[in-house]
Amino acid sequence: MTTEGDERALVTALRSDDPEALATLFDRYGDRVYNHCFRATGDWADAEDATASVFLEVWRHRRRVQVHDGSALPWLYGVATNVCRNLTRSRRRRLRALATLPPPQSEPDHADRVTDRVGSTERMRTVLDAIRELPPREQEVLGLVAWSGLSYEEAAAALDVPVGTVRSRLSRARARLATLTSRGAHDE
Amino acid sequence: MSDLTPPPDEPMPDQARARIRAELLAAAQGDRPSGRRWVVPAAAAAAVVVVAGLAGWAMQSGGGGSEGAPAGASTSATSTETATPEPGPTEPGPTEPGPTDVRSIEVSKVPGAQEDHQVDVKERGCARTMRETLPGAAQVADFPDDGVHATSVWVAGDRFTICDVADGMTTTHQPLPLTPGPGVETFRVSSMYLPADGGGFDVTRVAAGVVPDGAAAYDVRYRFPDGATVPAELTTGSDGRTYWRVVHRSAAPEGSEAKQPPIEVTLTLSGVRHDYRLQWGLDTCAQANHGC
Repeated sequence: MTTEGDERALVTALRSDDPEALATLFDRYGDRVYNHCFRATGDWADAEDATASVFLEVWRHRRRVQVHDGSALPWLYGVATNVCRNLTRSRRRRLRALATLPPPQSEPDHADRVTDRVGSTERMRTVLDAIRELPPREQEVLGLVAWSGLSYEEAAAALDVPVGTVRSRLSRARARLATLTSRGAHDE
Repeated sequence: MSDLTPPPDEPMPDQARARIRAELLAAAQGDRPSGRRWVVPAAAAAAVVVVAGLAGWAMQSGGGGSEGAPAGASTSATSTETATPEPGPTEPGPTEPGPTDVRSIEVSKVPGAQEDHQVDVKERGCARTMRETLPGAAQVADFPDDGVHATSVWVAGDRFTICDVADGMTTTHQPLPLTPGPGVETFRVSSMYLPADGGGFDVTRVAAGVVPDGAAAYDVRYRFPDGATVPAELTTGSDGRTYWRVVHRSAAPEGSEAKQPPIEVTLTLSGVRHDYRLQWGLDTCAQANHGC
């Protein structure tokens, strides 16, 4: 359980070049960034790399860390969104190619967790494939608000855009998805 | 819409968590003093000056307290020498190894010990990307991480490529021969568009190459559409070759970049000047691992 004061003190320490503050921030939010990056990339290994990159970027830009409503998390999501956006550009083509391949078989002697991971990867790729027709900005808002659970205000802070922009992007995204879903249902 | 529900969150594997945490701490701890590396030599130099000053004062004031001072030592010469501890970064650098006589471009650094652990993390990303760009490549040189770009040079057989890491984005270049050709392909740039702090996008152009063996007075300069002229910086690799790199970041144009003036390259090799103009698209998309 963290308080606003904790987080502000943590950010102050980070801005004062304290490596432990970075480690604490990672301990606190590493999993959330990791899952956010997985949802952006559809690949757990890429999510690991991206998470490391995100916190390295945080360290590099530690003087610019912003606290929104007592939390650094929205700013952190903003960094993660930028890192994963760049990562996904290069991965997009690869994912498209992978999507044409038969799904990977889960090996019986693997641990359950590995099998679960294969399943979650397949599922996430399917979801990403489904939203690919959305403009990237709308995908990002969808990822932050619908999937990562940020409020409109937090998403606005993360993306450094007005709250109204977040609302309109999300609204457009939902409308487009509804159209895509119904079109898919008709096609079937 | 239920099909668009992502899988539930999962905790990061403990091993990955421990690895990343260790890397972050190493990077942060390695980075923190690196910005103040001047403190140690500066303090040492200051200490020497103080000692020399005190010795000089003691000698000038005579007295029997100067037993420790070398007889006949010229205090003024000593203090002059020690008061200028800076090695002079723009000097030709007679102690710098390198097969070429390079006078016109500043030699940035001889790569050696990995002082900055952050680079280690970046190298890992490069190594992974390199498996597709130039399989079997080994890193032979790097350019100092300026806080924005960390560029390393990789060689396999008779070809090389570079890996540039900026803003979490890894860019590798299409491999080129270690013996640079005379054509414009030697000077192609990669283009990377990244969101700018104030909105819009910035575009970063990166070019790199090999200084030909035996080249005297080798100089490469890029003139970009925003008017900036950027001279190449050099580094000497563990393979004895000298590599150059140019990095330039500017606001991305609003419309088609092809409507801008071309990027111009001036190469001066052994006193002979060669001019190149990069064609948008053809010569401005040197990257291998992502689109333009």
